[in-house]
Amino acid sequence: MPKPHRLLDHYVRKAERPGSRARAGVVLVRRTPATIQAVRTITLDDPEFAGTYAVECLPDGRLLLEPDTGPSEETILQRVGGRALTSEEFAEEFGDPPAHGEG
Amino acid sequence: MADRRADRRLRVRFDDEAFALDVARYRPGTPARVAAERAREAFASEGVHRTQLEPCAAEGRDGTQLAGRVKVYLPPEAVEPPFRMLFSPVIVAGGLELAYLAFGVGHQPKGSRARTVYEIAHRRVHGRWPGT
Repeated sequence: MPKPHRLLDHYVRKAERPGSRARAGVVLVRRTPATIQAVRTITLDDPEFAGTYAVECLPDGRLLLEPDTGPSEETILQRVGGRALTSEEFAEEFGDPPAHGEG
Repeated sequence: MADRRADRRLRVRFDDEAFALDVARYRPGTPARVAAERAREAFASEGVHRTQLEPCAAEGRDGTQLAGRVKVYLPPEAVEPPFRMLFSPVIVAGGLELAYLAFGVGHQPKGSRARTVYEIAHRRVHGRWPGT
């Protein structure tokens, strides 16, 4: 019996046809073994798809996997208990970003 | 006169949930995992030296919009550091600190579907993936 994530890989590859939502970062896969149905998130160990995914079972039985990126910045700042800098405060403190445009 | 701001270290507050999700994308012992864990250990105890921080681009080439956030390159001693840790500067009790925002690779290898640290940070900031 293949491991669950190997089965997911199989269906992920099937979903990678032109126009597939997989290309937009959302992967639709068919229902896989019962081990998947019982959880809300799943962690894949495959080099290409490593990470934690939120799992939603669609009414037609397919599973929707989406990368679980965790808390929003708003939630993080609420936990910290601070406030974000204004644009003026940020510019005063850190100046302008470099021109390489990396991100 | 030297800029006194450049001489200081900024305290870093790590979000356990966000950090755990970010490092879970890498296996224990891999360069990425080691870089993240070492950085957290160092930053949590010593803070980040102001000179290590670089502002993120307001409009990145990849469509990410991260104005108002800063980053460090990791490992810091590497000639071409492959990893980045991003922070949101915050005012806490009147002082400037950094809130952990994301960790990951700066550029994914060609053909990879994995997300860069900038895309993950963009999603946490804006609630959607860049370009969607």
